[in-house]
Amino acid sequence: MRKRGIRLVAGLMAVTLCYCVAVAALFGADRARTAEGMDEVLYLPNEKLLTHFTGGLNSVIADLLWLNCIQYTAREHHGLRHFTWLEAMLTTSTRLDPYFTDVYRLGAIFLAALRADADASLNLIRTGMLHNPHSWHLPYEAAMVYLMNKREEPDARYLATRYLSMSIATGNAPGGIANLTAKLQDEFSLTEIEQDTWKEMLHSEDEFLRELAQRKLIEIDLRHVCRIMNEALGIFKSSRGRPAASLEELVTAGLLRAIPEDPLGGSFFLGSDGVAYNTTLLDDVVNRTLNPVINALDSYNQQHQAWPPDLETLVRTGFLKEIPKHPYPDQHWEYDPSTGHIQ
Amino acid sequence: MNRIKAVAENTFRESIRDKVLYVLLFFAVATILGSKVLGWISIGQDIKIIKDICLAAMSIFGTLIAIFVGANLVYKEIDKKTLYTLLAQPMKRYEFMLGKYMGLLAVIVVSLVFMTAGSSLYLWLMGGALNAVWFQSILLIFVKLVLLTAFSILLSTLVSPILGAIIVVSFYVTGHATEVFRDLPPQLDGTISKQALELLYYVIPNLNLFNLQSEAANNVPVAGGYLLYALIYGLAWTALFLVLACMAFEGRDV
Repeated sequence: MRKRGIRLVAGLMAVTLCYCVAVAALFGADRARTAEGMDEVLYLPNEKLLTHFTGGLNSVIADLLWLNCIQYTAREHHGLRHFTWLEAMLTTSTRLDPYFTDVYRLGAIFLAALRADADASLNLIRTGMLHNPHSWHLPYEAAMVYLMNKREEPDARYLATRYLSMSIATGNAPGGIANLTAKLQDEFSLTEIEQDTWKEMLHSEDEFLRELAQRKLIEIDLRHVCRIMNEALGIFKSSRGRPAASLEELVTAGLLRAIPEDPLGGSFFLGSDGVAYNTTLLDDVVNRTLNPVINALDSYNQQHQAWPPDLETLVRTGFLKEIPKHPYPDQHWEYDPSTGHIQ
Repeated sequence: MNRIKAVAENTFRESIRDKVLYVLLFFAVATILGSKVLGWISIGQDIKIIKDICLAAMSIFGTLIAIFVGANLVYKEIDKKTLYTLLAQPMKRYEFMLGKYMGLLAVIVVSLVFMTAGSSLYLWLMGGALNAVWFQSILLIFVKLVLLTAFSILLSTLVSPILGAIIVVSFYVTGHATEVFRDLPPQLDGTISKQALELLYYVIPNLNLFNLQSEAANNVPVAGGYLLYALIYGLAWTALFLVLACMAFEGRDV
């Protein structure tokens, strides 16, 4: 009985000893691994070969690598900020799962914003666009890289506009992007691209986007009509030796068949500067021009707890660079300092 | 036909009593439920990760069931000498083989339906969409398991269960890597090695053809024609392995 007790105690002691040795070894191994932790991603297998040897688990391995990439990016962001392996990790993840749009999208943001490598970011997005042509996110991110990270380049805004047009062409982009694209497209007279993109959007599942596309296509037609009218005004002036007194005079002179109707409820008129305008288009420009002024008024009001006495004050106090010109010829902004209302 | 059905029913009953099946199903369910943990550390990709892991679990645990249950089926009958009693009955050897295969396939179907129901419910509870490509992906996993089960049965007539399991695992890994033979480096252009390796692409079944996990996880639609070709490809290889299995068993001296 005593012998059995001794054997039991000895056995328990041996188990305890083994356990202590194992725990000590674990501590040692953990310390050793922490010391080498910085190099844990120094080796990434060739992604071309890796794709073939995942045993059908390429999608899962892409997920795991992406999760590791997030941890790595966070660690580097709080540490050395070199992001040496970021591009390789993103390339491998997307090679394993070419449809993983979040990796292209967020990876491009990481590369552009954190590693300040706009070219690598654009390369990643372009690869993503080849595999995911219906994703609106990817061309949108490419446009953002051009607008934010490559804005010093001379054609950055033009390329951004083209990418935004591609984003709209997917038919899935939200309305905000559509408006931004329209503004930039106006800047570069990309009428054909604009027309194509809105036509694509007519097939969108979103009712708002469809309505927006219909309106934008009508606006394109209205701009076209204005252009024709201005050409006719030029011809009238050169043939008669005087400017036309009204648009109707162009019809009488046989230069226009009729003054077309505006389906959006506006009208065409001849400005005092001798240029033909459309009220729908001008009202749209008025709204866009007014937005920064209204924002500046709000900011002034928040800071001073009062509305500025006049619009020039906004420029003097630095809330606005300059007071924009009223889009309607011979018209001026009407500002009420008691309510802060402008029209 | 009745004899095949009788063998299949017995095989099914025998297989669902196998503890290995439940251990594998337990790990499959644990893996599926555990997928959410990985989703927590992502940046909004949790549904994609859940889908990936659910489909991977179905593929891997389905294959393990085919290997561990299938590789043992015929060998056990020979080892326990129960085969002699069966063959003494008015039963053709191919009927016995097909019965065994159908029985094991029934086990695979039940396991896959169980895993599909569990995964789909879990995914739905997590807010994921159950669209067509999700079920198409599961369908192709099933076709892959049908093929692997046939290969597993073939090996069970030829080699021991352990060797059979090793061969099926190697077959699984190589089958998913056959595209490497089609994607050879340019240094091999114009060489006999390249021609020989390219030939291997057509000799070894391409299991990656049944892999729609990426499409399912990212909601990328799959062409109906592709599904049809993959289905035909899988069934053709399955038939080939079953014919070989029947021939091997016919020629075996038992």
